[in-house]
Amino acid sequence: MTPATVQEALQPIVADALGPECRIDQCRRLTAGASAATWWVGTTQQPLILRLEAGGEQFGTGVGKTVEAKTQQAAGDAGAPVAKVFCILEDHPQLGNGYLMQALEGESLAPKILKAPELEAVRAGLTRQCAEALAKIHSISSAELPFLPLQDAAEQLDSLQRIHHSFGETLPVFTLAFRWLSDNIPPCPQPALVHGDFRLGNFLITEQGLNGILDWELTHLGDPMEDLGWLCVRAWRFNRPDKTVGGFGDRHQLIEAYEQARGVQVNPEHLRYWELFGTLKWGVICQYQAYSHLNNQVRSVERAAIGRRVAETEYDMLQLLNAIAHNINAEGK
Amino acid sequence: MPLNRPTQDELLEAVAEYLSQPVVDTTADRFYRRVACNVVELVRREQALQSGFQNNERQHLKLLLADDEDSVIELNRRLHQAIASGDLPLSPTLTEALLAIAKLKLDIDNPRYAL
Repeated sequence: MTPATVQEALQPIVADALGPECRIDQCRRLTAGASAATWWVGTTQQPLILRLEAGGEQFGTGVGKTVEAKTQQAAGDAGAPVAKVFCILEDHPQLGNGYLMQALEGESLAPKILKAPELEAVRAGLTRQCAEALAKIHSISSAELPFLPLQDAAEQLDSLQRIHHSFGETLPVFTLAFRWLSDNIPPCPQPALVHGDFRLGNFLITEQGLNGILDWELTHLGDPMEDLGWLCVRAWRFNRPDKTVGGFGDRHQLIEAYEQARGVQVNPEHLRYWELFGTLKWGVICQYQAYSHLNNQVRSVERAAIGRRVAETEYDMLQLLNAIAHNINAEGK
Repeated sequence: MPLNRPTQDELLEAVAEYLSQPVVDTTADRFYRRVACNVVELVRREQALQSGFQNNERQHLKLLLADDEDSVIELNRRLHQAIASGDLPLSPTLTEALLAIAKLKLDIDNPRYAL
């Protein structure tokens, strides 16, 4: 799709949403992701972002752009920092499925966020802000979003195991993690809205802090603790493995801030369950990327290299499983 | 825990494939060249360390399974079955042995990773 096609198709939609005097003056494609195409749309009033379904391959079951937009709206209504959605496109003749939203400011590149001197104060407060945003997202009950799929631990383990087996490598550490996670599923009496990919890379950060949560593609209903565990997975700490929450915070701060914001008690072992779960999931994603190269779906030296990051995930799973085997409690005592 | 796919040959094939393409975007090229370079370094480490890694893995697995089988592939298959069936439950002996192998594997795949 060319910028001119997008601009022409989008102009009446923009005029409808923001007023007849609002004119588009620029359309630029930002990313060419496999499952979505993101366009930056400059207008005479304010910059906008257009997300379109690309129909390509992706890991897991993405919810589709219209459901993604409705969920993002619900999260915004609950007070989480997300871009305001102006218009949802369903089966548009030129553009297909997608949505038009406000373009929020902020840095999204994790290494920059973890290093920039001007963001030092932001990093110090980011764990609390993440906990507060998650508490708002998780306050949305399943009943409010009946169009979302329920993906609890059992359902996800089943689908991850199927994907893992399809690759045909016999990896005893994966077997051990699958077995332990299946035998020890924590009870989740109240499934809620889960973002599904809550980590650096999907945050917009300004000098005021967390300004936007992006990428609601993997959202679903499930155990809220999944989002907290995923945020602790070592792959998302980038070059700061010592900072156990996202490369910027500590688990006990996250638990304390989340308990305060949501008014619930968090069992640290429950969080560790989901950190192990997230690490296993990242391991299967690494395999998935490598096999998309090996099976000639997407030939790429980067995807090939990711296959050998499986060793990192085995090490991380064993660190967690070793602590569990030694009966070391999740606070490290 | 055997070394993963892509094998060293498949990794070198991916590097050669990338290098044989014309450069379209110099920023992207800088990134991919760094990836390609890291992949070549990984293969060099694998060539230097693989036989030591495999001997070590064999020793650990034989002890763990009390089995005198010599094929590492077969030992890993038996370990997988013992864990999946529940015959070998989570225990410090199991996780410590696997952790020792995982660290040696990282000496090949990413030597800066282990804490």
